[in-house]
Amino acid sequence: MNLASAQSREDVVEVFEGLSQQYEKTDEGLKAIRRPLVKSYMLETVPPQRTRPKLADLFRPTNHRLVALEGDSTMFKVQSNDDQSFVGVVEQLLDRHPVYYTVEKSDRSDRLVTRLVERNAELDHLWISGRVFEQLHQIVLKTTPKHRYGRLVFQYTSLFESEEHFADEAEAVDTEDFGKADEPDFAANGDAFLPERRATKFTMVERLGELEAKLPKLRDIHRPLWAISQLRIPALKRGGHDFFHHGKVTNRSDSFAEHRQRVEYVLGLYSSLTAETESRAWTSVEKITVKTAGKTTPILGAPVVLEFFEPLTQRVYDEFVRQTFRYENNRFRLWGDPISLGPSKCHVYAVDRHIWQPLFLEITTAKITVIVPHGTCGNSVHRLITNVQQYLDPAVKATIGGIDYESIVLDGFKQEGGSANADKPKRPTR
Amino acid sequence: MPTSPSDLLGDSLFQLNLLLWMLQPPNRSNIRPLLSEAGYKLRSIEETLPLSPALLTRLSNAALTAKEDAAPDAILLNDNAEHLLVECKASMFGPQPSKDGRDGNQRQARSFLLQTPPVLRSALAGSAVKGTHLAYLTRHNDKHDQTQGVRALADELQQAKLPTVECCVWRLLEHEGGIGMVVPKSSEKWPTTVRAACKTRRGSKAIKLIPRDDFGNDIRPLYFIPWMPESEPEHNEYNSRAFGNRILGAAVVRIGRTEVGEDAVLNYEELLDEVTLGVFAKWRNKDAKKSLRERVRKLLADHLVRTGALRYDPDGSGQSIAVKLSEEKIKSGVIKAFRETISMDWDKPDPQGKLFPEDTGKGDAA
Repeated sequence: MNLASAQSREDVVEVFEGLSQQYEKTDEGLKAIRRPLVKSYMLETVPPQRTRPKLADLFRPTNHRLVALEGDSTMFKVQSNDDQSFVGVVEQLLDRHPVYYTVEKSDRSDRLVTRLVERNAELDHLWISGRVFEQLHQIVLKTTPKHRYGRLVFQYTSLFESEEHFADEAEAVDTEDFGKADEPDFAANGDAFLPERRATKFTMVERLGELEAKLPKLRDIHRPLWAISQLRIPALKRGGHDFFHHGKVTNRSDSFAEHRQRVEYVLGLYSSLTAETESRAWTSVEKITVKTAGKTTPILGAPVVLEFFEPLTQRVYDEFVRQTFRYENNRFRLWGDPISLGPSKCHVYAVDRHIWQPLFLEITTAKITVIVPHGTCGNSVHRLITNVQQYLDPAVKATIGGIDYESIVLDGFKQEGGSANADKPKRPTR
Repeated sequence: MPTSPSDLLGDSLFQLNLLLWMLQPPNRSNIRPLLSEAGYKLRSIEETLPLSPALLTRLSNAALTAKEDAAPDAILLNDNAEHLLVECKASMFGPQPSKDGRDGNQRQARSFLLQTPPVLRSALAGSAVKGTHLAYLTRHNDKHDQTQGVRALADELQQAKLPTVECCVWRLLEHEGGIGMVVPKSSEKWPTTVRAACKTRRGSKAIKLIPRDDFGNDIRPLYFIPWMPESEPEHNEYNSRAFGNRILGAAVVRIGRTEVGEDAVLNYEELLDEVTLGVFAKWRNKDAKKSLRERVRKLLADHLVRTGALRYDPDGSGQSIAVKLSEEKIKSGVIKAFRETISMDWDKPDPQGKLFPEDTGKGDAA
């Protein structure tokens, strides 16, 4: 049985279950089976106020078609129109969240998903910030035996500490990092210019009991350890499910059903968080309307404020503004023309290039204040926080409408039964 | 660019946006959410309040004139259905028309003063109204009593047996290097909760709304609304660029969402309406609206001409422009071109009249 011959959801699951098996019993004991891993890509479409795009329409721009499965209206096989091969499966797992499953090699599947998002204004990756990962980590600590191994990847690059002198704009390419943990931002050959700047990128694999005891102390002395970019949720038996900050999940367990269940769980938490974020950012203006020709239009959004742990240096501020709004493929994928209001302040009436929605930014060395117009997806907020943590300040503090982002995360998780007992992690102190 | 705080005070667009920030729930921005603390939320902006025929008749009998369809800059309300009409003014006015006979301020003020709960309820199509108050937001001027004009107008109406609402003047001034509001005198009739929110240290003459910026930056906040009708007597660089960027941003949103191979249609009126949060559509000055639409047309055309993208008038009306996004590089080129810094004069009326004909045919070849 393979994807081409699979006729039903059960067939698909059987295919993925067979491919999920990581070990086999031999006379010499357990032996690892080397085969491609099942990867899941969690995606997000539009808020409920807008018409949700059809799954088939999302894949059309990348020249793929969906093939229906018997008796199933939410799961489809994905077939390439170029060579007729079946490359994966897509499932409308939650209302706003399709998930793409595949066993293709990462470089191919990452490319396909990147193209999918780029060519669909109504589709975006999930953006799991360090703050959200932290809450997931707390859940793992509470629900998994302490002798099990946990795996965290921390990633922070102080991208704007150096001037990037590009010969032309094409060099300033945003390299989406889909789990290529060791791939540098620039070609690491002897001829390429490698700018010096602060960067933290390492993997920590340790027993959960040790992580619980030591990580808070390490964070006190090294703030980049707030910038979690990958986290493993241990599997029930061995291995686990590796979640990346872009919404990719790699199944390193023996079970696809368990993997899908973990994906569904995290997606549910994230969905609640997004809804909660939008509700808080838009609630203060729910009743606020401008009446235009009989049509009421909600107008404002409560501000989102990202406060830096320490003020940015002038150089970092200047480079952040210059690089972000000069280069088309900047890390933050923002379009806009900064209006300078002094040496350390500017306003940008910007557009989020991921989903083509407006965002208004005030950037200073102390904070970024964001007005999120009603209708702009809450995912934009998560993405901004994620990117600020990874490239500007790993210990950034976010508030939405005056409410602490961590509280919103906790509330969102509680609604999903995620972390009724989870504690708010201790923030770094100045 | 940095503008001193005192220069901002008389800018009614700044005043309106400051008002909107004061209505935000408590947040971590620098601006004191004073009106939110006082329990107010924003109901609407530029909502027209039609005067009833009965009221107009009584005014006519009393030989008084009032604007029949005045629209305050903002209407606020609290959980008790107490409404607060707020009008932003660069400066206050007296009870008499100006020397050249213009009495727009006086007629507008009478209309606002007449908005007692029953009158306002009727104007708002039956919405619950338990109380009404009127407030003017303006630049502080200690050379004269800024409430004198509107109080005299209220007296005049009362003498004609027409009930009026309480009225006050909120005065903005430079305060401790930032911007503050003069604290109310005991004789001034401020809404109770706003007065309560304005408690200050003894001897302080103002409450701080925006603190000083220690780094020499302009202290104005992000603008929710980048434009209001006749909002600035003098051309303002920030207002011009913010407004222009919002227009271009709204255009980029439309272009970004249009698939390659299709045409992106940019309707000038729609862009203006979206960016001004519906205020443009309500504006009644047809000539000025036409002029502003023309300037938006030119703004977009000036940016598009740098791209070589084919464009045309989709319906021949001159009200919109369609851009052919035939290739990905055309689309990204247009988006990039719209990011270029705009001319600070883009929204100035053309003093020589219509120099630039509207686009009625195809643009330059790609």
